[in-house]
Amino acid sequence: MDGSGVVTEIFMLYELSMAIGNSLVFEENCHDFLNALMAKKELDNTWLFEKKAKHFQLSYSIPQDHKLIDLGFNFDNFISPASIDRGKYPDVFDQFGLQGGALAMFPLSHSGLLVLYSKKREVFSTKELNQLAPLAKKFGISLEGSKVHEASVSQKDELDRLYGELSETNNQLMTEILIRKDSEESLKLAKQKAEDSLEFKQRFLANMSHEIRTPMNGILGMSKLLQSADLDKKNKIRLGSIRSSAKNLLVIINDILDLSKIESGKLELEEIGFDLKKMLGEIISSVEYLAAEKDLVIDVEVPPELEDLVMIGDPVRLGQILTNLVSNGIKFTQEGKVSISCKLIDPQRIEFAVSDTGIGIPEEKLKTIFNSFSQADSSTTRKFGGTGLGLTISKQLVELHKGKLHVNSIEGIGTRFHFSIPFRRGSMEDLPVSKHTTPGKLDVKGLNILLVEDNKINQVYAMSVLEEEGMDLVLAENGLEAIELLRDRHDFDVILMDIQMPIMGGEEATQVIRTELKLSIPIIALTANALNGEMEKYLDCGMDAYVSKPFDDTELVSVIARLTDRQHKAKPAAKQDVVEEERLYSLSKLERIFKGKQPLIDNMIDKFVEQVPKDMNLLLEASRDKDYARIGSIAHKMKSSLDVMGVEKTYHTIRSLEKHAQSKTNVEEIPGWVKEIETTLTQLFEQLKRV
Amino acid sequence: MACLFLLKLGRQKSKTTDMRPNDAMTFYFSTVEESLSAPGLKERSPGSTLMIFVAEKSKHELTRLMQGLEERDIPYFGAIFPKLIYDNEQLEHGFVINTLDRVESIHVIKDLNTGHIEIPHYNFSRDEGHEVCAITFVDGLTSNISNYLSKLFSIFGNKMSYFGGGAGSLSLTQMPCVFSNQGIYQDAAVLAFQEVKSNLSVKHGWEKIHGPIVATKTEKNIVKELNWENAFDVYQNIVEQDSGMKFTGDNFFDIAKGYPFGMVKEYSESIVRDPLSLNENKELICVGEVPQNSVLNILKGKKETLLEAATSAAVAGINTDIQARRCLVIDCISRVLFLKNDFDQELSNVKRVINNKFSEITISGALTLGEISSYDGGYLEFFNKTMVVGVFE
Repeated sequence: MDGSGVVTEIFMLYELSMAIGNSLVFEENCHDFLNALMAKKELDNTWLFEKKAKHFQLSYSIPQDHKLIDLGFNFDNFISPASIDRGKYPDVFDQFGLQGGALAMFPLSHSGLLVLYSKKREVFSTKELNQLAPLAKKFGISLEGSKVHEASVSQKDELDRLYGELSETNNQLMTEILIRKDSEESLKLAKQKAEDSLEFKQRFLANMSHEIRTPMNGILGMSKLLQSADLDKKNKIRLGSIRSSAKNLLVIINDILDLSKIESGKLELEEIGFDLKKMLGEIISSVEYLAAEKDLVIDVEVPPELEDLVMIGDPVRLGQILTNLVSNGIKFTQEGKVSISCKLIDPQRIEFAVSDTGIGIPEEKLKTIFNSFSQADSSTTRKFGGTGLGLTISKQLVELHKGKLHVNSIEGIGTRFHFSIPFRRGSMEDLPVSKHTTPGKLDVKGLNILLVEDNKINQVYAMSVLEEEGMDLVLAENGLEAIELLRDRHDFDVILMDIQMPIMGGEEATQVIRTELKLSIPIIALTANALNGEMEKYLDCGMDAYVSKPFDDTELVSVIARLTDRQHKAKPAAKQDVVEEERLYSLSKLERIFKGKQPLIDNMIDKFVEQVPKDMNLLLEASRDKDYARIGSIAHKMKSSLDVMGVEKTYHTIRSLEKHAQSKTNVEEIPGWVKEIETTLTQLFEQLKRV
Repeated sequence: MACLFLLKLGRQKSKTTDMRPNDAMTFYFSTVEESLSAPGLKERSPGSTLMIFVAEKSKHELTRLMQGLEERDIPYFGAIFPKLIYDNEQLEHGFVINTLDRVESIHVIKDLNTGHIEIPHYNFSRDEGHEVCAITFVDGLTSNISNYLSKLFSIFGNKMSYFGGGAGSLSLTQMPCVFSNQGIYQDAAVLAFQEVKSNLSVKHGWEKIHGPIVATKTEKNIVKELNWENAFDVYQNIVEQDSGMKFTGDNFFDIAKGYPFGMVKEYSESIVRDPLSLNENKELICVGEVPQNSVLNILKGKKETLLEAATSAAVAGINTDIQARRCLVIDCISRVLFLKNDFDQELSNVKRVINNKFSEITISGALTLGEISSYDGGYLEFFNKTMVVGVFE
């Protein structure tokens, strides 16, 4: 070969070597090099094998070879490039399915084998093998690169796949979360809506209650005043109808309010001590006149073990349940009796039953009688009246007491409602000290009352009631007017304060009176806002008491008396003369505690007489020394002694003394309070001496 | 007996030849009407397929021809070429139609320019013991022709022979130029598998005047660098020196058509690549891909060697024991441009050699933009400036 032939060969080898490794993709790498090799070398076939444990597996070929999957014969002999002819290796040619021509074998690095086939050649020359060997080696190395790349791509693909799956899962999760969030949002919205609607219902009821109660106050009040007027019989009957209708309307409003409070969960049961037998007695008293009208007998059965029971609970609500049931019984009973009974069914559970000998309830109606506005028959409403809310309220109140209201009834024979509720036993100590003075004994004459009220009818009614009791009344149309008045006049004994008024309402006015004018004149809220929370609000803002509209004249006078009674104690001695006549102590508590055993009671009185004067002297001493800590501690000790002896007159003073001495506030008042207690005790001991 | 109106193209002379369709059923029709009314077509054996070569100047009639064939429910495939070959003549107008038996399937491989090439499946087991020829005509001005052919060869290898050429316009303006019953397409190849014995030979006769040089930077059919320098600068330097002519900006092809590249192969003639034109970057645009790092020679044509090559291609073609019934010639249009009036001599030589052994055969074929064949049953290539002679049973 001449020089140019060698140059051409070198160029061709250059071209072939440049066809190697142009792609990291195994297939493309093979395609590029093997096609170039076949084109340049006029080859007919190329195969690429990968060595496995016992055979060579085909990994690429041109043309594609589907039949020849792997080579089973031993290639270990071919450790270096070799040309193979059929004469020497017929089995190899058979394996490839070839008749003639020549095969060239190139072992590749990393256990590969490159096989070339030429139909035209009889042999691949040593020179040709030597030329191609470095290319084959380079090709083998580049294939390893491709494999490593593809493994990493495959790993990446796997990672991508996993990432895809993860993303999909995430998406599904996110979708689910969003759906849930949506539904949560919907639920929140629905809840908010429900709460809003409940809130709206509450506000509506509060407003309606106010709107209805205010004119009702006028109707009832004015009609009561009319009763004492000189009316003919016909008009007296008419007036009676007006009052009866108005009272019924008031019952309905109260029922609706109660139900609403129960349903909205706003009704909370009180936990105070009460005398069960006394409460049952009061229920009977309240309905006796109804029973008497129908000649019905009212029975109360209290077993001996419950005779003296002090229950801790809500006497008002328990009383409401029983009153409802008893009234119901009376309503549906024409003859016979209505009885209330109670019994212990276990030490912590008491059962109440109300039976009647009335018309009974048809069996099919028994299930629905506790539903709102449901009576056994719509005709029942017409015949017997009522709102149909009584039983619903009773049932819910029983449930609020953690019990269940049951009914048994036989038509024509009678009906029995019964329920059992858990209860806690209390002691005499738990019974509230009565703050009420019997209205009949009240002396409210000459009190100066400021009435702050915008409603003309209520003004007239209040003025009629209060003036009838001998009180002097000054009227203010609204809170602002009252404040202006109070800037100049401080001699009012009580302020009656309406809540909802134009210009300035009662709450705001009270705050100004307490904080700006610094007046401690008792303020009584006159309110038609009958809901529980409202009441507390008024007391919190500085009022001393409240009276619901439509107010009962005796209740109002009673509250005025109670508040002014306290005030009177701080007043000059001029009025004390009146008080001196009153008994300053009560033995009822001692009687209850010692169950009327006189020697024990006497013993207690002796101890009181012996101990309290000593305490009083110590108190006077500490007061002189301004030793407030001692004053507090002595007052604390004296407080319980005075309470046991039922000394109501010192009830508030001793507490104020204890409180302010301990907190060292209002200390300038302390000598006055000490003096007041001393005076009362001096009188008390005089009275006790007389006993 | 149908009369065929043969146009002696280029000389604007027509003659009427009283010919009957030969055994292999090869026809030339100057018009569509003649094509569609020819008894030979109607009498063709049931199930045979028409292989149609359309002269570029008759392309406007192709739609009518296709419609007519559709109406007659005749399967066909073919391509538009710059000129046609019938007997010993080159024709600028008309249609050369061959009826082929045992065409197993016809495919259109679309969107070659995108590089996404899918080769159709062929079931060899059905043709156990039979030889198969893949006849393929490709848009000669599309890219990825070599890619298409290498994929074709990767799949079928030397289990079949390959014969075909590049279609299109001599104006080098791309147009829809390959067709079948599916329609007519640009950037596509039509491929038919025929169960037939064949003997193919490829020769060009172009000789090396300079080389080797390396196509150090190419992109498909664009040669950007030769020996790491601007391709045109290198090419210009060599060609101007040899030819004594100067590239002036408008005479590129006039000079270049005599100085093609040859991609070097061992044991056979190099693969010719025709530089057709220059782009604005002074890069050489060729017919057919030039793989990067290809070793090239610059070739030069001489009338004698070209004519001799054509004759030897024909001689190689008849060097077979198959009972030939058809002879197809795919010859590069650039040989016509180079040989000019002497081209008729090339065809006459081929006719003489073929008819010397197979006297009944009428040569037919096309003057193409690139030729397709495998060298002696070897690797499949896309050639330029080459003659492919196919002798078929």
